[in-house]
Amino acid sequence: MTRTVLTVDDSRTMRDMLRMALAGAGFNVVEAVDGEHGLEVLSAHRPDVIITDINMPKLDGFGFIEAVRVDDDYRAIPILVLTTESDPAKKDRARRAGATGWIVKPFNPEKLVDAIRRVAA
Amino acid sequence: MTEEITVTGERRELISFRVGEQEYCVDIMAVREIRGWSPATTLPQSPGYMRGVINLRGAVLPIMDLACRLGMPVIEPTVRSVFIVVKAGDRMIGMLVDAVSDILSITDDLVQPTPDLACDAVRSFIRGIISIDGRMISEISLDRLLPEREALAA
Amino acid sequence: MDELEAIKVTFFQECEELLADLEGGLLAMQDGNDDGDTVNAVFRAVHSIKGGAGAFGLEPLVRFAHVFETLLDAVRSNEVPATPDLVVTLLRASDVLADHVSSARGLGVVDEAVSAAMAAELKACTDPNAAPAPVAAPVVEAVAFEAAPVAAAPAETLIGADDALDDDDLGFDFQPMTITIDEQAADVAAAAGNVWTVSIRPKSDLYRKANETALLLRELARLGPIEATLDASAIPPLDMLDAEAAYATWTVRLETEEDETAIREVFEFVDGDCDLEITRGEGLAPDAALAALLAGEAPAPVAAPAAPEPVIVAEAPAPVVIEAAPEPVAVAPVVEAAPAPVAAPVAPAAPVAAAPAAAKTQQIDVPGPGQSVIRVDPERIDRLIDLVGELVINQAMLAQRVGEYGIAPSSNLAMGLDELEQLTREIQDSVMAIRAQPVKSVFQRMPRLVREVASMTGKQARLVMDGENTEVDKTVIERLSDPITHMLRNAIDHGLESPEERKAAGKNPEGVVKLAALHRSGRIVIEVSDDGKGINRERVHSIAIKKGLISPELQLTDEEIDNLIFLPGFSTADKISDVSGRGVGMDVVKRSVQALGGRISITSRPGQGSTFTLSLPLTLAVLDGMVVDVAGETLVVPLAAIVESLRPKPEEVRPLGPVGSVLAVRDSFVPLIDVGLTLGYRDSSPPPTEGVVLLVEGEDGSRAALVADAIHGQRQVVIKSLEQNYQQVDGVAAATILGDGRVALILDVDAVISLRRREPPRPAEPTLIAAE
Repeated sequence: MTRTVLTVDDSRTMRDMLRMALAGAGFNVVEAVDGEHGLEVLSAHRPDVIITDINMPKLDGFGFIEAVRVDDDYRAIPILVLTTESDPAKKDRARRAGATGWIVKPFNPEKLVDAIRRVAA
Repeated sequence: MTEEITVTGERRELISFRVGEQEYCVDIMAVREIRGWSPATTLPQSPGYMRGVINLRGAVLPIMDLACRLGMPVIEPTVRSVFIVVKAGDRMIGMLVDAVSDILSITDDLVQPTPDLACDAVRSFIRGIISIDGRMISEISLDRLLPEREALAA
Repeated sequence: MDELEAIKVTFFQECEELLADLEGGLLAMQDGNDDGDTVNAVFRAVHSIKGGAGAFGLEPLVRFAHVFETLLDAVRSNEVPATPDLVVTLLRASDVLADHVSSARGLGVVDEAVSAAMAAELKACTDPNAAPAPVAAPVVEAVAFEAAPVAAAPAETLIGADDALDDDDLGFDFQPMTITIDEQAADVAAAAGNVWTVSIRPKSDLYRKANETALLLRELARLGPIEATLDASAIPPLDMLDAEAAYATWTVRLETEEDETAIREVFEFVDGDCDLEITRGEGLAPDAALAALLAGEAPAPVAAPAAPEPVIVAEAPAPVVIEAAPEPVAVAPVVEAAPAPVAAPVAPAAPVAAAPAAAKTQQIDVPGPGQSVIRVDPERIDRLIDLVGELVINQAMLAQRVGEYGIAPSSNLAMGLDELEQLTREIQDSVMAIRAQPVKSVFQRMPRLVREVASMTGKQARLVMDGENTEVDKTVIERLSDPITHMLRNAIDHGLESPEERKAAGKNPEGVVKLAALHRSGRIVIEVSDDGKGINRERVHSIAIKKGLISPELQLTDEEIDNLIFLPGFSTADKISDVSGRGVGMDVVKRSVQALGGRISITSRPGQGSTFTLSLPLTLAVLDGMVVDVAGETLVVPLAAIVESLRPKPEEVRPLGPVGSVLAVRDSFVPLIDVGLTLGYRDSSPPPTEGVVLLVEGEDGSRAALVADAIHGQRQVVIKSLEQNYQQVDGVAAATILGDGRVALILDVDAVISLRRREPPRPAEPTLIAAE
């Protein structure tokens, strides 16, 4: 069965990049432009995995992860955050919020798919 | 010009046509279509060989009087006159000629250099001369036919 | 790589938007709106540019954006106060960032010294306690030095290379989060058939973050054959079970040629969320073995296939059965079958429930508010617009043919044709609307221009913009930038006074330049106004006389004097200044505007400022024109140029000089121009009284009376390029195709006026400014 990945990023470039890599690996990709939008898309699409950015308008990555984790319907969806090595504090905060794992930028499509495999049933 | 045109074994197809009493041809690859004459809209401030422009399926197509361009008397179009739509560089133009003759299949070794006696203006439009069955057919060099865009705009 | 190239195009588009957001945010901060949202938006803009740039390996851009972002992050967290001075610095940095973006796009070169100095300044602002900003030269060196290794990285397939340069000279000490490799790992890796024992005791946090032990085991199985045993002794009875808590300990025997690092990597995401012990060799981890013994059952390992397929754990106290299953469906039934020990894996089962729902809706793509955007190749739209143009022509042709048969207007056929015309028009409008864009894309480049021009000329200028969302066809948008740039330059350089002069005149030392866009009678109007000193008419007048542009006797209205600045060869600055000069005068601007069927004019009030007004058609694809006959040819005269049409009476036509004549229109005399003669359609002009006269106004406000033979009426025509297959023709703006299928030429009114001025000797030729 095709798995659905929800990507949440305010950068169109980054969404396109993720889509290219994920679609190329056979995933169905749904997108959201910020955390708030992500929560809306979540209910419509029930993704198997979520990949989210941290810096976003309206609802940022931390808030988005927390919101997903407090919702009984979605709490078990693995969430990968896009992070940078330079900011261990952000990564830790994302983990505390409930992130399942992380993808360190820069990454290539293999690394991305690898990270999804590690968290997706 | 004494040097020989390079001999290649590749065959090319040419469309030959009549301008006055003379025969000319162009490479068939450059020809987009052949159409019957229809009156053209005169272009002001243009050289005498430009007959004007016509509507070719929505595009504005300039029509060149080939006879005039080659220094011969202006063609008075008749019902049998046609224009050959050719691609010259990035532009499409219609060449007004008296009649289309036939399609020739030649190899480049049949093309002879243009003799010296031709005037410079004519020579620059002629790629070479082809001799077939006693006919003398001059191949038109399309890229020279239209003036440079800036040259005339000035 | 095509897809990647397409994303790169998107990236640069996004950069334009982000740069605009950045600038907009900074300007808002300058106006005192430094609330958290604004600062965050500013930060995100730079952050996103950096992220995308990293993905494409645009290192110089990444480097600069990183320094910039670091400072913005500090501002965001209130470590660095957003003082007005700082915001000015940030604005300048945004300009340099824009340069980097352009450079990355291949549209210009970054001044490395400026960039390095800016970066140094930003760093100094970030950490005021650090050593004073180094002088430019060493920074350039440092940048150049670091550029080499970064550039060497194979960046083309990397996505979001956000921080490729954390260890640059920021004055920050980021500790790279490298995972420590045990000394022994290296030699272990060499040996084949190594056996490892991995003991995993998950904490509840592991499940709370949607991690799963089953997946960890699956990952381990990718390294080599595993045997996993579960010690469930710690699992409490069901009634005491906390579903979120974790009780079990897994002991895994792993045979792998990989080293310990590879094993630890499997647990990277659960670091801290489970107790992990990795030991070399056979044997159970002591506590797990003990626990198993205490539970009264010997752990019985069961082989798991070292396959990448999902490995699902069906629970039983121990021994544990690990089986490969294609779908994670086994868990739920087992919960009922074996109550006690299954608590831990229950939470991760939720995704299973989610799966069918996802399948149901997965065909819907990008949903949500404001997201119903279709991306279309612009060429397809251009093609559509061309086709609709053909449709309009065809419909007109059809109507004309039918009209020739003398069909009654009330007949079904005529009414049907009317409806067709209506529909065609609506289709045309709708299609044109697709290509319409707000002028914002052009406007957003202007604040920077104003800053730069102001700083070069020593003026203080504030740009106020209005109507950025005014829409206009893409073909026009692309042509707006140059004239607006020139008008703004002119307004600051020539319009605004120096701060001292302004103070002396009792004005705010900071001048205001306003850029506005609006729709007016089917055209787009761009106004550039300043609150400067206005045009010095006396000076303009005398310069125009001195340069022989007008005759000294000519009486001009104020407005006419103001518009002298558009005359070729006119320049009020005694020496061409670096700013307005650049070899381009307002006459050139005017010519380019006219070429688009536009007009430009200026009005001025001494001491209060000047206003440039530029009007352009909303599209360059269609034009409203008057169809006229001239010497047997059909011509289209742009309606925008026509003031009125009239039939001259004999007493209104007065000869002037040997061949010329003028038309008396109310109180003024307007030169009569026979279009057929001017374009060379005929050798002599028939008496003007036999034809019709179109009173036209050139873009400079000069009037002329064009003589044609007959008028056919107004029509909207589709503009066709003559240049595509031929070239520009003097006196002709473009071509179109009329209802009869023939090509008609669209007259270039200004060119016709100036063509006529070039005609042979006309003694005492009045200037193109009509006399009162």
